[in-house]
Amino acid sequence: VATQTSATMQKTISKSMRIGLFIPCFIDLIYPEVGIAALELLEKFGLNVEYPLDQTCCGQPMSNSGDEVNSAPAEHLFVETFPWAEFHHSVALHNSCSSVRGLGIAKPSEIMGVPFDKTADLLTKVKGLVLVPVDRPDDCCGFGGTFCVTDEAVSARMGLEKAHDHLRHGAEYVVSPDMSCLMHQQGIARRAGLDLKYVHLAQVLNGGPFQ
Amino acid sequence: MSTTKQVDPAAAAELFILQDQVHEPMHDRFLWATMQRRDAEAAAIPEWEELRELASKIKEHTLTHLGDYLEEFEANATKRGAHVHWAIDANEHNAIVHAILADHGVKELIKSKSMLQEECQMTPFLERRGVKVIESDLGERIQQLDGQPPSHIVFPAIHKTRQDVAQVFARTIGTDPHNDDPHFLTEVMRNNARPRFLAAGAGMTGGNFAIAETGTFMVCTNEGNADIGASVPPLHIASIGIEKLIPRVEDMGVFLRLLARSAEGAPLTQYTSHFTGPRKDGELHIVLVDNGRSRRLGMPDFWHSLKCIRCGACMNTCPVYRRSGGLAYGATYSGPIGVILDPTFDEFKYSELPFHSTLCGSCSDVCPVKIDISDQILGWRRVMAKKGYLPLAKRLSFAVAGHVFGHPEEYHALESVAEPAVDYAPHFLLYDRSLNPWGRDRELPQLAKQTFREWYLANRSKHADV
Repeated sequence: VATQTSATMQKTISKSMRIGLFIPCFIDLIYPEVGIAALELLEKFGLNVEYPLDQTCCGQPMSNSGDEVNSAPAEHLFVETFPWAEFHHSVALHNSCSSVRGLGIAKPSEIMGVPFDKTADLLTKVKGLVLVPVDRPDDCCGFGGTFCVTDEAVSARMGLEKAHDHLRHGAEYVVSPDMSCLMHQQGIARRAGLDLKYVHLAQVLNGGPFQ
Repeated sequence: MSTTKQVDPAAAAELFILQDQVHEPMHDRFLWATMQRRDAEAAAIPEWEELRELASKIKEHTLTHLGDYLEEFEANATKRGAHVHWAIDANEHNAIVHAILADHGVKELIKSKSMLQEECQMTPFLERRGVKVIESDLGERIQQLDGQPPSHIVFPAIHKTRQDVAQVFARTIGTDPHNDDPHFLTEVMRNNARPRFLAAGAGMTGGNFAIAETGTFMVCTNEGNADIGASVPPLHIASIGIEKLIPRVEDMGVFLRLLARSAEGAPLTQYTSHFTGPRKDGELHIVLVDNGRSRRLGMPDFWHSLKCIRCGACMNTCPVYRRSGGLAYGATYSGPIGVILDPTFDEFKYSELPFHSTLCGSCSDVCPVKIDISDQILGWRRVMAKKGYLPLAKRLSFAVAGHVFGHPEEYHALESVAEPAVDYAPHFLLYDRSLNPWGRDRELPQLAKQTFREWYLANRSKHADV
């Protein structure tokens, strides 16, 4: 809640402020176009963005498994070194659990109050983009970090139901601010032969790159 | 450390999913529908979030003054004519109950559902000593007839289809195995249970709340079975965990508005019974049970779990629980609340439970008493990691990863060999179910031809010479 409030109150970012861009290791290796889109998007707003070269991984695979000792080196590094568009497609939005319940970018369905969804607000500003409603918008897709391999059967079932929910409502694309959820969902959809494409929010807002 | 084998919820959940195309989808859809009813009921109360905050604060206050409130409850219940007993653990609870039954020459007992009595393994204890124990809650009775523990703290047999129930009744009561009409099955149970209420020498209940100010305890049910059990036999014994205390009668207003809405998406349970002293010509015994609760109260990261009012909302909302079935947890308590309670009984046996979660956080948001369940799940992972209970494969790779991710030069050297390694790795290595669980139900992501880092160095001139 604190994160959400402070984020909401910060209306503008000074052009003189240097922004360090963190690119997760799997974005670097597998989805560099997401990193490029994020960087170019921030630059289009005239922001002073740098990509500190001494970065590796955020330490999440270890830290969310409870292994603080082995996550510390990566986290330490992180602390030390880190300080446009048409889209003529129907899109299902997948806000990740960490962005909804951790960062507060949308109202979780369990919490009562005035609904809001910052990702959806951004997407509605994109020409040609049609957001489709889904049955279970903020039900976890089953990625969960190492959970996706340590609890493979449950994770895969959750992912498959998520993909069918998107498909059932006529989505061509699934868009998320969290590429790790999409990496899992994409793997599931491709194996099941489901016609769904997965792109990051930054790619849509930046107008690419898509490959 | 326990000598018992670790439970393996991931493997058990896989069996639940793969058994057929019926059970897991039914289980998931029922509990999801329950959550949608809960959301609608909660949304109809403008001050819902305020109620949750109040309930949390009342519980925190009570737990931090627990000794005083327990003594106040004992004094007031005694004044009203109840016999109050103290049990330090499960064995003492069971022994106290057995002694009361023996004193009264009771050979048959009818009970309503009580997670505490499950926790104490009371039924097998009493049956070994010649006391016949009959469950009167429909779901609990189905589970008892099938020789299984409850799979959900509110819906004990929710993992079963009505066809399953027809089979259990056919096998144990002798009804038509092909008649799975819910009205028929309920009537079978009713006719089977009625004579048992009359034959029982004692009725047992649990207690949802115990009010210090009056010595009253409350039992919330939908079937009225606890009320018959407490009213027909002359002897009533109630097992109550010491964390069930609340200070005043007026506090009930907060909890009753939250309980049934959170549990089942209903404004109230069908029956909300207050027991204050024994009824006329009856005898009432209350057994207050610790069984590890005092020790839990002393755990800085985990004592908030004692606020739990056993509504089961965290189970209904949990995407992992809905796909697993409660029996997969191999413990008295399943779902998110089980993940944080069970290890307090046996850290080794339940060391895998905290990993049976995606940490999505929905449990913390739905909890009517605002227990930080998701944070506690991560907390328990830390405990298991420190104790060396992490699954072996995870431990080994993290020791390497921890070092490499802390040293950029080593990481980037490895990164450059990762892509060719995936390109040339044999298919069986990447898609073998045990070697690489990712590939069992998912295609592998394709590594990009150029990493972001390489693109950045080539496209942002000031780094072109790096």
